[in-house]
Amino acid sequence: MLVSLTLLALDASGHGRSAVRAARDAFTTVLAPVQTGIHAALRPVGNFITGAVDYGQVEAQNRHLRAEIAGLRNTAAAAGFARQQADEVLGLQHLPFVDGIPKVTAQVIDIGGSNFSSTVTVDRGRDAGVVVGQPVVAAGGLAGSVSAVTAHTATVTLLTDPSFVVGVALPEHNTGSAAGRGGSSPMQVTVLPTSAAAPKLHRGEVLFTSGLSMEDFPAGIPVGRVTSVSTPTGETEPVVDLRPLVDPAGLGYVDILLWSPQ
Amino acid sequence: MVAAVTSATVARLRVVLVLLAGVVLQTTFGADLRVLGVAPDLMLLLAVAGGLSCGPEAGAVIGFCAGLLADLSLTTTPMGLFALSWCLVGFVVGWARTNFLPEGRPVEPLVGFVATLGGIGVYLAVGDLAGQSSILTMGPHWLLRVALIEAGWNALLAVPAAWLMRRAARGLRSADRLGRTDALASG
Repeated sequence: MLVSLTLLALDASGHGRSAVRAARDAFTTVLAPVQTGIHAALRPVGNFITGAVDYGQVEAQNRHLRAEIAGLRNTAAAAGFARQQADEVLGLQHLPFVDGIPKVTAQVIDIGGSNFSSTVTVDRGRDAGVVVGQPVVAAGGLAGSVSAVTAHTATVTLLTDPSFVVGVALPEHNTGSAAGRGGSSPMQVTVLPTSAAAPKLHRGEVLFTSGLSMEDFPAGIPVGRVTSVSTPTGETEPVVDLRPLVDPAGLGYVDILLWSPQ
Repeated sequence: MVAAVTSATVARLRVVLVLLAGVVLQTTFGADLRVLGVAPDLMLLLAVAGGLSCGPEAGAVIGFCAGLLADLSLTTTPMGLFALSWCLVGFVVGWARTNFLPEGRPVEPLVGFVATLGGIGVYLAVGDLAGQSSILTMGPHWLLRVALIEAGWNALLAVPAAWLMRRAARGLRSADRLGRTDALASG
């Protein structure tokens, strides 16, 4: 118990944290090749068991995806025009998300096994220029940020993790912070109090990273879609639930942005 | 004397190997065995198995080592949080096993279930004290789901895990003493 308490105290102190990080990095470096091999070999067995247990859910998801594909086919024709418009807007604003930030594409080689944190391990590390704190994006938007790096792998803390917080831009010149709540729960947005009028948010609206100074993420990365907005009695700021645009459970490849706050 | 020391050392090495295999399985296969989004916690299971097979002191050490390996494989929680929590679980299960739990396999799934629920409670309480209150923002529904599904997994796997730990720890004085007491009690 004393050793555990000492470790907790060490991790909380500045000097101890670097030693703890070094120990974790070394452990992950040793474990990574074994993990990759075993994961590849046993994944089909795990998928079979999970699929058998969650059969109803998989079937419902299949139906939902078929309906979604049909809808997407219908909107495909309109997408070209929308894309052209989006390109123009993004080009005008020079958003870093699409404006030439160097990135490294990485494959997800492992999904974190803890139920109290949401992380994945990817197959690019220090040797590819990856460092702790870099933003990670996937098809759709923000996926998380790098929380640990070894020579050849990196651990990405996903945006659904309870420790994850990102600044988001809100209407009427407001800003807020979106925090993960773990599991499959949506993120929760806290509006930062300012002299500006309270933001009017609507269900379905997409929120983007604010990119304010000292923020860990560049501006303009899509974070999530608003799923509910309510203002508790007696409060002025709304309570906003945000569903991430990226499905953390279905990540195969991600882009690590080689970017750090100026 | 030398033979006893050698046999205890070999037993310790076997237990370490079991724990290492546990963390490799947890970080690879364990994550794929999600039921309703919840993965089993093999390191907590091994802490429970350690207490069941070796009693309070050795159970606490096995729980600590299991937790430490879990801490090393994670990045978002403070180092030592799992080590402290699973150390307490190993000790309490071992104490209960030595003092009042009947010997035999039928009781092991129940112990696995209850000890997992208790272990998660300890983890959340210690985590809150260690400044990890963000874990509690996951909400009671998710935490309850995690606790029940993990407890279900550990109840299912308690018998093979305890058997494996007994085999691995054979030669450790505490495990042998517990085994002899069981043999005497069963006549």
